[in-house]
Amino acid sequence: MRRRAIVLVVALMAWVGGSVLGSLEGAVTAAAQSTGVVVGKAHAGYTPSLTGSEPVVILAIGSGARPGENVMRSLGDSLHLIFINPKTKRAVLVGVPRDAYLPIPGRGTGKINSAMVYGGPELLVKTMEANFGVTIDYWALTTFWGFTDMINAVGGLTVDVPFPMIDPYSRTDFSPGVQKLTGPEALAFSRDRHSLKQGDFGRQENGGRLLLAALAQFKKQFSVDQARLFTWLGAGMRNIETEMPLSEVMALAFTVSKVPTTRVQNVVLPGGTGMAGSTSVVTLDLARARAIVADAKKDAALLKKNVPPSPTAGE
Amino acid sequence: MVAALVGVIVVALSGGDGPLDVFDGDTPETPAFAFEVTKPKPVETATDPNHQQAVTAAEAPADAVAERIDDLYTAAFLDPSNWMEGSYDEILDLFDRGARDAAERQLDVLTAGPGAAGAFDTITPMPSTLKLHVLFDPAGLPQSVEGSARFVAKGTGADGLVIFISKGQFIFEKSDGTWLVVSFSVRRSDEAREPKPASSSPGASPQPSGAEAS
Repeated sequence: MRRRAIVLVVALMAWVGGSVLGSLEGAVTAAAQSTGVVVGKAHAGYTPSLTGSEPVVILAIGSGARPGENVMRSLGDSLHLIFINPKTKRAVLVGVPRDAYLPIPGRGTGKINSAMVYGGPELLVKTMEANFGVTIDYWALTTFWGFTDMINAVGGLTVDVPFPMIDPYSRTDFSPGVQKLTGPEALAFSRDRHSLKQGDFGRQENGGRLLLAALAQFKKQFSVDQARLFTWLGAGMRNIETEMPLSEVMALAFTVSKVPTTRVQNVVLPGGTGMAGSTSVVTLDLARARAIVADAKKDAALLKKNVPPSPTAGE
Repeated sequence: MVAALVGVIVVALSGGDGPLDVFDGDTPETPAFAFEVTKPKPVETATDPNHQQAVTAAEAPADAVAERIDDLYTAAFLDPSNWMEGSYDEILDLFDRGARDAAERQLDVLTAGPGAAGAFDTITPMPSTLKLHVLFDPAGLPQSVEGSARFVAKGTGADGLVIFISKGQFIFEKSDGTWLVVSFSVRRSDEAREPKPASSSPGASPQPSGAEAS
């Protein structure tokens, strides 16, 4: 198993790739003279891609560390399994409720977000793999401040806020609709659970919405200016410690640049809430969770029967 | 007998209309060309970058890539031995792997085109600009270089002239010590202009013919 450290930026970069260049390859959109000399408008282009039909699996972790704390040994605040199929140009975002109460290898049973406290991202990866039966290729980790810096560095994110969100804890105060969010606003959007009926489930879905917004924005920018790839890579990588070579990050970014947002599914593992002793926890429907993950791992496209209801559908 | 055979071959090869170019040794020289390059911009990925160091370190890879892009456009538009033959395979050596295959399929957009010899007597460069970004890895080594070029040249012939305008973006990575294109996007917006009538009135201006021109 390849395990390389990357920051959420990498995943974001990976997500934010996008270009229509491939579809335009060789297209000459205006008349060519009979001599073969192009007169008018024409376009040629090429963007490389990873090869292989097996989906790449990335665990994106939003660390809950505060400044001064060890970011690698803090609670995982936001957790997403990302499946990208280079061949079919499809992807699935699977949100994992951070309070999911599950066996943690060598640590008994606890909330999944505590796995990183016990053993860093490596143990969190092991926990995910053991519970959901998936092999994770890369993990990516960002912090609150890294996340906000990253969003600010790319000029903010345009997000379609799906419903009103007002929460003094996370500092959300959003009316529904398309709007550009600053780094701190995007962070608030991804963290708010108090103003959502489904709490942690809804929050994870909103995290996926941010990833989709980042993908759409990167694709749009990259399609008109390839130099924007460097901007996004720089913005992401500057905020992280990583063992993953930049060349691999670029290859991943090029690959996701070809994934249309319409071919990305954003789901959250289903379950309910309960108590473990005096602690409020999320109890996943493990059978369904494993079926969803297995389906995503197969080809990065979920069958209709494996798509759980949106946790924010009732907002 | 031998002399007669040679004579027949020469006439056959020349189509009977005169001597072949290959015999006259009169292929025009390639005009000198280089982009006007703005100062390259470094993009750092280190968590604690030394920007001034990166500015200096960006110069060498930027210069190397600028030279590659100069070579690309020279071979694609300006070298008469290419455009007069309608053969531009030379530029493919500047592309890596998949980009090379894609470039080969899209030579009509990347170059003056296969029929340039029939349309033009000369192709001469006009002022053209190039902007470069150098991406550094976390260790401070140059990883990739992106070049945004705006190339302009004038092709003249009996049917008028064409202003070639090619806006190209190329991302280079080093392969075996050589900077090669791994990703590109090139947009052409050439303008065709009618030849001026022999007795053109003063003040007459060329007519852009755009996509409808033939």
